[in-house]
Amino acid sequence: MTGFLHVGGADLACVAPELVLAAFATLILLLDAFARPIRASFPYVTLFGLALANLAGSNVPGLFFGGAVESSGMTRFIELVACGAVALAVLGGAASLERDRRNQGEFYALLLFAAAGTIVMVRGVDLLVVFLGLELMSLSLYVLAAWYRDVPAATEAALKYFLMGALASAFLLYGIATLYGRLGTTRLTVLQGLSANSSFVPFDLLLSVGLLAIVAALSFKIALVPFHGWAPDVYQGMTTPAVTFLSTAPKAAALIVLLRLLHALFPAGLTEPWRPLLAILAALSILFGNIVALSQRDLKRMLAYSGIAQMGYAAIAVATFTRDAFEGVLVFLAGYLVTNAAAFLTVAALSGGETEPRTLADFAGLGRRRPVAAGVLTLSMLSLAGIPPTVGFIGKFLVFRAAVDSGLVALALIGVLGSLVSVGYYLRVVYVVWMKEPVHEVSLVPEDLLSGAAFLLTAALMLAWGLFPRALLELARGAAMTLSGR
Amino acid sequence: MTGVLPGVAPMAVPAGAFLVVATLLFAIGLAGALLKRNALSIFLSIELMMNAVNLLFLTYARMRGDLAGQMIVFFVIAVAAAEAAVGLAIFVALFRAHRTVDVDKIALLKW
Repeated sequence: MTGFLHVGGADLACVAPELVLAAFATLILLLDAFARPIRASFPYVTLFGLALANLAGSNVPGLFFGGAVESSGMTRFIELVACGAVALAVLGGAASLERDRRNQGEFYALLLFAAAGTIVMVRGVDLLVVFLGLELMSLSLYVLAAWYRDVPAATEAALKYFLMGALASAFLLYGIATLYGRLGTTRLTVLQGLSANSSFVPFDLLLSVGLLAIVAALSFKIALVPFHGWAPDVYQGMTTPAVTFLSTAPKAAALIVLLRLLHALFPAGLTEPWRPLLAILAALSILFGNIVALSQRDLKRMLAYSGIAQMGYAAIAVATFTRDAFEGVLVFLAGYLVTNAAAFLTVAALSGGETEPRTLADFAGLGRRRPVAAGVLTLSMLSLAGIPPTVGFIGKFLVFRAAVDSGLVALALIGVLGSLVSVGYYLRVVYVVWMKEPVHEVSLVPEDLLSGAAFLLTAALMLAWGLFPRALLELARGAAMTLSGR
Repeated sequence: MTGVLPGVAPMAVPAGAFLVVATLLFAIGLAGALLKRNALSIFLSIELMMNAVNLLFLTYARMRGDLAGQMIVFFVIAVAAAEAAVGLAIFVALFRAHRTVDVDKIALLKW
């Protein structure tokens, strides 16, 4: 513990991205209080902060702060994912926030704090740090869920998210306490050393209950069935730009933390009760998410169920637990980030006011009014369905192949079956947007430069990573090394 | 060490008893969180679960003669306070929009 008392330059350099993000969040809060007239510049200040945070990222791998946090390929990966998710949320959301006069600095500050929490979560090698990062992220997101605080649906979404999230935190803490009580440490590195030892005592009942509590808490953040209850309501009630972030980076971070914890406890591969358990979580999420998504009329709810199914595909990789699976799931998560963000960006740009419904019928005929946005939505739907040459195909292919290679053929088949079902509702969106005649004219968010840039960026990434996945594969390989060793 | 009362021999409470109490408190909190209908009561129950975990951490730290568990408790208390601040603000906004904090009566969002 004395390591905490000696904080050197190297320690601070390791957490530089989080420091920059927190500094910019504070700066925006101060500007909002003392320099109101420049509110319109907040999106640009935020983007500048994100760019700076990424540049500040350290390339020196290792453990810092007395072994409590680390810098590695994995933290580099989550830095890109978290900052990218905030950047897309800001680019796509600035126009609608300005229209509704909700462009207060807190929105941008909370997104930046949430990104910092997401990074801290993955950077933490000590479960206490993981918990603190998770709370920083969650508390910011609870507030963002209630951003339109006079809209009843928004406060309801915030209530549900907050109560269920607090319950999940309590479970996470219970699990950490149990691990600490039985094994005497909360350090993942020490746990790994203990479990790699041949004299490691097999799991007793109490330890299993503790680990189960942690898996449940993380599954809640990832929104895996049966811990998905909050997702559709929160997606529907929360303001769309914030959902762009909520539906991507936090899920990726929780999944990575789950992988790291399991890898520390089972370095030689998952043992009996845990592998089937995770396989069941994955299979349930895929089947339930895809089947319920078919019957959704609200586009955001449909995307919520589609997100549950997508995380089911990612959970296949957790159950598979090989090096190929780790690489595959990171590619999948990066692809899911741009694809899902693109979907929510277009929902934000194409739907009317925050209080208006966003049923599928409202999107009829938008292909003619906003061809660019409709094109990006089409691409995103194809990528979510996993149709080549989009990045969604690459991620799914890698995850399913890793599952088949390690003998989980049934699980991979469920994944493929789920993907086939999903084509039905993804292509229905494309059909409605381009082919269907509108019943009534819906009001649209005015087009602006920022959202145009976001459309271009996501479309380019979906296609570029789908056609030339090499750069993404390299990034994923470097990050997966952190898990599986050299 | 002398007893609290003069003439009464000091009696050590075994550590296991603390673990049992903590687990019971956690279970009571969980039951409350799942069964209560008032948002504030649910939140109170969750706070009870958090404090049960604090007791667990302290007991384990004492059993192991290790300070890390005690340190964690301070962080948990701070996080719980921050959570209460955000949570109560959400409840106020909720009450203004719905005129109730009964979770059964708040059901706009459903399929």
